Amino acid sequence: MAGIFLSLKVAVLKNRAAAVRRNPATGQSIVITVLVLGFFIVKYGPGFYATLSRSGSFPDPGPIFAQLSFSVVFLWIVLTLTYGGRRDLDVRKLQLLPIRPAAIAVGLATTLVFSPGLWLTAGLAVVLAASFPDATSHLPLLALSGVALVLLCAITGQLIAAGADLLARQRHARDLLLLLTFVLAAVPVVLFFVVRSQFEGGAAAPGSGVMQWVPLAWPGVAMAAAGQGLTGIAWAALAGTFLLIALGGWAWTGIIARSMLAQDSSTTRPARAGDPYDGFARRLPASRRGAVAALELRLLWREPTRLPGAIMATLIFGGIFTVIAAALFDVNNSGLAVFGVCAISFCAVGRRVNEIGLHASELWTNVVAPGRAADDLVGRDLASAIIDLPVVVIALLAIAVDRGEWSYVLPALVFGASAVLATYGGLRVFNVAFAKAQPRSKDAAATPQRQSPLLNLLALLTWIISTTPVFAAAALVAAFGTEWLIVALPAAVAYSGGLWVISLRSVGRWLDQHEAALLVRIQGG
Amino acid sequence: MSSSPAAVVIEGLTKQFGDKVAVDAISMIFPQGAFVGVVGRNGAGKTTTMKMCTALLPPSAGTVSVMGVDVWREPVAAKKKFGALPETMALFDRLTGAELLLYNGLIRGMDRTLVVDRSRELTRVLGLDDAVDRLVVDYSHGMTKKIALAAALLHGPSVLFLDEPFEAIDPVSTRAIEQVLNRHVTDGGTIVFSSHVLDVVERLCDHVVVIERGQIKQAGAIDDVRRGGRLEDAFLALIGQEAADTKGLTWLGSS
Repeated sequence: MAGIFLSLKVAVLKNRAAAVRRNPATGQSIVITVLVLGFFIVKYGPGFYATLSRSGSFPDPGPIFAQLSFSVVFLWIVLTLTYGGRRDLDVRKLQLLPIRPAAIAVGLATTLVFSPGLWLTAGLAVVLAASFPDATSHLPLLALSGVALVLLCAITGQLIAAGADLLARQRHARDLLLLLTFVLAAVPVVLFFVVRSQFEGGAAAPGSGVMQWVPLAWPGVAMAAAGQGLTGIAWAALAGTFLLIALGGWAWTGIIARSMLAQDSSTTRPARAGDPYDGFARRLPASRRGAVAALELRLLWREPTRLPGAIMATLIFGGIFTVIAAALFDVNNSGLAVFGVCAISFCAVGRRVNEIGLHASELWTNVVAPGRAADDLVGRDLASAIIDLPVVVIALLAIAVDRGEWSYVLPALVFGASAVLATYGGLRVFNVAFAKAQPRSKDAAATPQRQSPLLNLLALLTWIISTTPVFAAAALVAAFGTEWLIVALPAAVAYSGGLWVISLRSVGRWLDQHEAALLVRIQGG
Repeated sequence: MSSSPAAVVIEGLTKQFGDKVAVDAISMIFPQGAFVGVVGRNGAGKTTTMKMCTALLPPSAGTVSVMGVDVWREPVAAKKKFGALPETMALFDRLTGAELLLYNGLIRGMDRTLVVDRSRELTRVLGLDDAVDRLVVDYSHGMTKKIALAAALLHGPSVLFLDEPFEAIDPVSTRAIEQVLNRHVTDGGTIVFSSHVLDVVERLCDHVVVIERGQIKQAGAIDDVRRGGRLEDAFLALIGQEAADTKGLTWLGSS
């Protein structure tokens, strides 16, 4: 069975490589990703290796190894949740074959030899094991601890992937899973900073020994004990780890058995239950613009993972941006309040990135209907404004009440609205230029709406480029005084209005001629 | 094909994907009031032709006009003349049936009251009146076909292009769709539909077009094509398909 799965995996990988060769855009994305990753590896890799290779020389390596082990296994959980599990060898496709779930689990496990993550983990285990001054004298136990770490990571990844896939067939579970992923993603980031500070200080932090009792940390405990010659502790931690691996394997097999029979939860559901935008959608003008706006508002709430996806993208990228802004500016400066209000326009990016590609399959409806594509573009902006502008106003009022200062409210509102308008103008061009079809599914797997990180990064850049003149105008007032408002405000409004109108006309005209071809192209037809 | 005024005129229509010619310079004229069945095996070029006729796929060469309006030169005017039901039938399925029809009517510039009235009539005739408040994602395949057909008919088009409207649907839904389509033709409308179900083509159509490898093998009145026999036999003879040789399959049913 293992041989069959391995040959199947090889065939899938070959086909994927052939598909990349056929699609230059995918190839370009891979090249850019490899270049970016390569840069970081060359820049930070040697320092990272040097730091890790002295882990074993800590006076008491137990706590630090426990934290490292926990972080690595946890990273497998988070990355699996974020980037999805196995898609190519979906167990549902094996439903009709006379194969036991345990045999499928063994077969799937063997295909992990092609997992780059597993080889990276193995490399890390080797570096950690070799970091002890007398590693050679404790080699068998150290090696066994390394193997335990790799196996625990592998089984955890498979368990999470299969479990998330099973849960994700129910809409609410899937949405919750997405938000949970965001929260969990913060854990390895926090641990990274905690562990780094301990390496800089040369000793484990007080109280960090508690981590040794957490099961995911046991391979690290075993390795640290083995490296110090504490054989009894090492064997106890290893026994615990292998028990965990066995339990994980048992649970994974159970999930596989269940996944093969479970159906998607596409049962009848109420259309408007809890839909906050349905009221707005019903009151929009009875025109093409109003119809498109109503559609966008309804789909935002009803499409699987759309809203949690938008919240996540906003929090991740918006959060990064806010941290940078807070670091650059004086938090007590009222200019920052204006700046913050403008930054709220980023919410639109998280929600609207790739809005054409998202509906590439369904947009034929609009193509065969007589009318102007510009009306569709205005409709999407109208829906977006119904969400974004109240957020801008509420945020501004909250800041003003908190600071007890109202003089800048009106100008800040104008700057905020200008930033929103400029964002719409820029996104319009981005969404046509970088449209990428999303797979259609009634109830897809864990993160069906996940955009590629590269696409999100490009969207962030588009937002920065589009809104920079508005931020610059606001910064002018903050730096040189309110008398500059008379120049800065009209400039911001003229710029954002101009960008919005020009992009509407040019993109609308282009879509009138090429929308059908665009949809065919992005769907690979 | 007929002396009636032309509803659809296709001239030299060609589509090339790289080196592959999917549709090879086909020319046809469908008269007003015709019920035309386009048949061919998988990959013959039926869907590609339909897409080019409905402004969904730009042709590499040639022209298509509907009721005298060129689809690719005057797309807005042409789109008012026809309704379309593509094969993939991807709909905004997180809308209810009623919302989907309203959306389709409004993006065509129709009055809201008119859309609501026509939607009510169409869903009643198609047997969807109990389902209009449910999300389309929860519809069965047949119901989805029917709501998509209702969306295509909503603006009262002169010409309907339907790609595989009878594929994988039950006899009850088939009958309901057939009745609506017959009514459309009786009222002077024209229907061009592609199908693998030759029995349905034989029962409904007065004209048939056989496409093979992007070229028209034969086109004309259905009686002329089938020459007194069954359409399926005539079709298989036209595309040169012989019966499969099953002599080697003696092991079937042996385990």
